[in-house]
Amino acid sequence: MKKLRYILLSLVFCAASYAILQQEQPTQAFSTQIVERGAYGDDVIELQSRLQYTGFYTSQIDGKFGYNTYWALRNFQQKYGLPIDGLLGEETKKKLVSVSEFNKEFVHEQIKKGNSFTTYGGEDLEKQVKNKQADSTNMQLPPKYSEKDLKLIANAVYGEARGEPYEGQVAVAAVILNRVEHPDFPNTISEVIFQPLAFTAVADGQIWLEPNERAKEAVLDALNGWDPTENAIYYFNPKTATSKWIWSRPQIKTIGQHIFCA
Amino acid sequence: MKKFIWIIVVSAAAVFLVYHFNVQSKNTRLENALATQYSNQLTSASEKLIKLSDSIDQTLLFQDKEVLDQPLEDVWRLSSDIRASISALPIDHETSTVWMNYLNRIGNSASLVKEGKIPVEDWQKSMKDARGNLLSLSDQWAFTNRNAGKKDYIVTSFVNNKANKENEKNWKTLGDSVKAYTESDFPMTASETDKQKKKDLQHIKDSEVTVEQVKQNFFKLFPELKDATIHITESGADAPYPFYHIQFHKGIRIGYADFTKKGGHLLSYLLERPFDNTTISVEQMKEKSSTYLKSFGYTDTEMVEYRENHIAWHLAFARVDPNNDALIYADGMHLKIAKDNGELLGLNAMEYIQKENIGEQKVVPIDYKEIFSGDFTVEEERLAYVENKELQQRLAYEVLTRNDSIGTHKTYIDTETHEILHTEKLP
Repeated sequence: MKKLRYILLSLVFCAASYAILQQEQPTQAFSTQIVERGAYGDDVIELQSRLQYTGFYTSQIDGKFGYNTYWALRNFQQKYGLPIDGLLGEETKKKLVSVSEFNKEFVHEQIKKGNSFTTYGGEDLEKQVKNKQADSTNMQLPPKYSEKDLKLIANAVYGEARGEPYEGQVAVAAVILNRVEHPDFPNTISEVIFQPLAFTAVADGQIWLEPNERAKEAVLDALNGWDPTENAIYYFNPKTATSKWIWSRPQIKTIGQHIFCA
Repeated sequence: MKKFIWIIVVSAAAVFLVYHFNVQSKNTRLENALATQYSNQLTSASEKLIKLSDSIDQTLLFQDKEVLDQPLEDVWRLSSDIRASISALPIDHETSTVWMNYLNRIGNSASLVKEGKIPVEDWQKSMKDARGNLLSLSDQWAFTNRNAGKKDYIVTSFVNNKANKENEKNWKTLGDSVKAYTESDFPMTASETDKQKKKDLQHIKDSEVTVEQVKQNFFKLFPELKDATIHITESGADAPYPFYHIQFHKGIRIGYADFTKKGGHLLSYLLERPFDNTTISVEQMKEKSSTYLKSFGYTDTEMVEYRENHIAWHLAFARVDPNNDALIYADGMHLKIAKDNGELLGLNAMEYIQKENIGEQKVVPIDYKEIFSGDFTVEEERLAYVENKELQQRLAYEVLTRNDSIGTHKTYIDTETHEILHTEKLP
């Protein structure tokens, strides 16, 4: 009898513990972070997928928490009587998880493959993969720049300055951006880069090399405003430069193998 | 005799090899030049299509006839420009004809709307689909397309394709025909970028600081680099404004900091190091950034946006006018904060050093219904200073409008004249 009582007590204790744990466990899917506009990563991918499942989000699932995601989240919060703040907090996460499904493996695989896809609820996921490539990189940029800009400048930086210190790579990217703003040069990034005789890497084909992450990060810093050249529009390597004219330009500073000029 | 024949054969082989090598390297150079030209055309056309779509978006945003004139003109000009780009591309003839006709229609319609021959409402109705089509065409030609960024793809798909179809044309003729394409400028892009121009730092009136003073200031601002090896150089004698350039190295950290010679103001700072996979929370990041700004003495700024990426957050700040709480974007500042531990990786204060001279300006109440079409909802508004076409700082209503299918726009409207100073689409 005593033994039976112990067994019953143990069972009750286990059940109570399980119930408490279930209650305290935040959500099984999202991380514990509060996610808001400007964020990037797996939580945002899950948020977009779940919002799309419920029909609130119709744009590309790219892990970037921009305005499309923000308005969709607010609409979701409004519909379910949650505080409308556009923040992915604990309460909103719970509601999202309870009304939607998220196939993490499927979504991440499509993103990895660069496929264009959707995750609307009630439809077979495999049928929602379109025979088209998604047009997104995995970087968030200032609004005035496009992902094409990042890719083009990264190619140029890698071709021109991959052996240079990080500061020197940011500097080459900054020179390209300074030229776009300068009245003596073309007005678009591609026109500046492909201007005849402007960059050695274009002439010798090194611009077609695949840039590494370091070059991309350097370009990202330049796009965000960093300019280690202090407004230079030219640079040259004094060991290899053959033009006498370039020596006549006002020199600003030297970074690595390059002299930067106004 | 045998020896003689042997010499002739060897000589002929040598001449052939030299010739072959010469031709081969010429072809490679030409191939590079053509791939460059075609890539330029493709990316340029793709960029222009996005600009065109943006201009169309702006024509959907407003209903005031006067405000619509500029974006309509942009649509007309851009559509004509892109037609020229498409005609220079060796793409499928049928496809290019269809798209050129389509762009022609858009351009003509914009011109007719501007002349008042087509009602604005009809234009806005038809353009809601057109903008999507343009973006889809832009995607097809985007440089970010995995293959389109590679020389071999461009050579195989475009250069060789053209050469096979028109055998009589050799590489040189092809090169000449591509070069014959006249690239046109973008007045709109120029005006957009004008406002981003950095401030002239030549006219700082502070007294000069010495190398020793700037060194002390560097270690005061960045105490964690106390034991770093540093190397200080001065800007070139011809530099537009004099500054000190500090390169530092401490363990895994390597970077630079520039200080103005006059006044010893920090221009920019950037460091590189390896990163861990951990991530601090957004709240911690905001606290850290606020602490950094306070320690540098930048207490009059407000964070206007931040973007998270793989290893860091990039944060943008603007100075706040204490009189009306308006943001002064021209007095901007940027921070780069590490995601793994919140360390300050970069600071850019180049635009913040010299404060803008802000004059007084009337604030005339505004009715947004007269400015924005009914398809857009005004979500937020506040005051901000932005540049007008004459590069003067004007107080403006900063209005955030929303349309779930067309997108979110930020529009700056002069508080006194109600002129639209600037509109941008937000991601």
